[in-house]
Amino acid sequence: MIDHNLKPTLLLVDDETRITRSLKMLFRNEFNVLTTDDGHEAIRLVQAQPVAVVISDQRMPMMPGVEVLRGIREASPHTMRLLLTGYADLAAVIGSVNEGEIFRFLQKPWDTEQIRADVRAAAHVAELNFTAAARRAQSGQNPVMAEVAEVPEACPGILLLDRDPAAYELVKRATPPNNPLHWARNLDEALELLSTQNIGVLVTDVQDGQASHVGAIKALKQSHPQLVTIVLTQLRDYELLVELINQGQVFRFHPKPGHVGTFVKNVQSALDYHHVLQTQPELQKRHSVAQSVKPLLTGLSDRVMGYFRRFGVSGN
Amino acid sequence: MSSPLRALLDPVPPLTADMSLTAVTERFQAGGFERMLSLAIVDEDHRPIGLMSRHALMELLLNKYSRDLYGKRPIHNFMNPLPIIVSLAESTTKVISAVTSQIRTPIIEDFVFVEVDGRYAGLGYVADVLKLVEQRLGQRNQALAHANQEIKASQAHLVQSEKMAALGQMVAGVAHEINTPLGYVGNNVQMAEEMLGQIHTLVEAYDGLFEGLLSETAEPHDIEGRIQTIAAIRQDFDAVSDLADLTELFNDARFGLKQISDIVLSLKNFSRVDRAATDQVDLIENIETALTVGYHHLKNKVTIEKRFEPIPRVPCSPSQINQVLLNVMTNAAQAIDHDQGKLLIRTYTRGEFACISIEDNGSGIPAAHVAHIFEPFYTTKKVGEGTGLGLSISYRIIKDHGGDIRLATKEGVGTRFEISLPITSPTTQSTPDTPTARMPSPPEELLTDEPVLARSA
Repeated sequence: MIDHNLKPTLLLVDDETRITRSLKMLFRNEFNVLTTDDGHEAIRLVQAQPVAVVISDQRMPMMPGVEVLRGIREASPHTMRLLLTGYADLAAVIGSVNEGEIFRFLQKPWDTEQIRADVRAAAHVAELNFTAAARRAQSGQNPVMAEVAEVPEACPGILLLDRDPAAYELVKRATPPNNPLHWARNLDEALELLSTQNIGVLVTDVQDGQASHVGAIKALKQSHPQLVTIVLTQLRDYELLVELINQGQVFRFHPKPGHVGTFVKNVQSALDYHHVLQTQPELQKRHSVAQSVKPLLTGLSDRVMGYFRRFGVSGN
Repeated sequence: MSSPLRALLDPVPPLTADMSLTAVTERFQAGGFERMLSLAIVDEDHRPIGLMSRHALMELLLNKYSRDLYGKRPIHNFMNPLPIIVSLAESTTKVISAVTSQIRTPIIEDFVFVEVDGRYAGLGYVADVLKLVEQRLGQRNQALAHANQEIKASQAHLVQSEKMAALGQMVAGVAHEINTPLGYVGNNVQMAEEMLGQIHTLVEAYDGLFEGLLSETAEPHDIEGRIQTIAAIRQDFDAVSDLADLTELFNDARFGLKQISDIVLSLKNFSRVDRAATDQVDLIENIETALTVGYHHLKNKVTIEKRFEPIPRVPCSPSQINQVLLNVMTNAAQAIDHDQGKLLIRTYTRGEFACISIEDNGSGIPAAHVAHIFEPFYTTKKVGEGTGLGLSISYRIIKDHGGDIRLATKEGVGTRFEISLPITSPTTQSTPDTPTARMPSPPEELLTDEPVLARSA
């Protein structure tokens, strides 16, 4: 028999025991599976032992999934978080990104092969995170955040991809004085700036008139894993958002026009997170994005295609 | 300058202040302004200072010797020095209100029109103004009728939006209710299929061994090999315990499918597309249907207690009553802001009415809101959360059934709605009501009937 201690731990949180029973059976060969129907209990469990991956339902009586995942993120930041829900309102999807910083947004009914692949990928990243944290702990560093021992490099730039002058004003207000702000009105300009400048944070709308930036956002996450993306848009499209989470690993979703104070905080968190990604490259794996079924880059110019090919992102 | 005013204006030449009474009398006798009741008197600057009416002149002349006594005296001694004066620069509306407010009965005078600079322009006939008023009223009535029509159309549109919003909310909840069992049923079927593959491999291996054992030509090492194959498969796959799990997978799958079909059935019952609009309906059945459909709003928040006394069937449209029940139950669930939510649903008969009481231990409704609660568009929910039509539509539906919907509420304690429907078909279909009659009976009245559930510790 396999030693249970060698298997990573998977925590399932759902108030429907048939869901946890079914998923437990699916994962019990690869994982040490824990189940609970109570969010508070889930947070206690991740504090008591290293949990690699957690899958939580959204609608639960004691505590909604987004709150459970936020609590888990605070209690055990290296645990990879997945939300699994039969139906979530837009607020829950946005909350899962902004507060839960989730790895994947999964929908019921799910595809068995897909959930296997997602949970395996999450477990792989969690293992890297936990190992690196343990290594840092051994060498006396803060196990969560790496010490900033390196020579402080030039402040990374913020790139805004949006024609909207109001968006520029908003980003300008949120950009710290030492970080340069670059403004690209279209994708071509953005790619040019990305290849010549040191960019840490991308703030972008999801569409520019008729043209959609969704494919580019996803492709950029593949070519620049350390780039942190904030989506700033007035579009309220549930499916699109889920796609951007799973395939674009969007860091924050900020509705337009939205609250300025929140946006300032979002930009600061994004810059901090970019710094963490640079100092802890293993974390970049967290951003391993789900493979898109559709070709990422359709309808883009040859120049743009060439740009992505240089970074090894295939167009189809 | 507005043309309707110009149309009222008659530019009759005025009198001067120093003209004698005799001269003025001759002017009146000469005629040429028969429509007018009076003549204006102007000063040297051509500004009106008074009005002399035929009526006043006649009264003067009726006195004996007055022509001899006063004939030579200037007219300004006899004129009305405070006539109604309106400017041609004013709006028609202002002129109408100035004339109609200052008019004296009997009408013996005209009113004076002045130019923008205050100089005399002519006279106006009061009756013309009254005609104008009538004409304008007619136009306004038409506009009002038109506006009324538009309001009715947009109201119908809003009622439709409210229906769609409620439907959207319901679909979202039902989608969640169905997606959950679909999730594990699908997963279980997939796992069962995979397990079946493993079982197939194992059975094949056993078959091989069995045939080897029966075969007379099989070598011992051949048999040994087949046993090892089986042993290897058994390492990864414990058929006995896994088959026990398979039973559980199928049990859950069956349960899930039953749940999905229950939801679909209650959706069908809820809309009652296959039932006559007015039917002898078992209200308790309706309550159960509404509970199933509204389950997603309720299950995570409240425990439901049912105290059903048998009630006779009532003639009603089941789908409309379902709409009312779901609306009241959803409101009740939304009013609960703590996690010891309770919903007490009772049925009973009172006189000629079958009653449903739905009682929550939520936040209650502030007295200021109670009076408005059945009014259309009255909502305390955030923009986008409710149109404020839900209860007004419920009210309408129940009234159209000849029934009544009332509430009792206490802040911090809870709210109780009581829906009563006549057991025998009402003679008048829609009970007529004025907006004041829309007010439900005072809460205390119901509260003394039976206390609202206290929040339990």
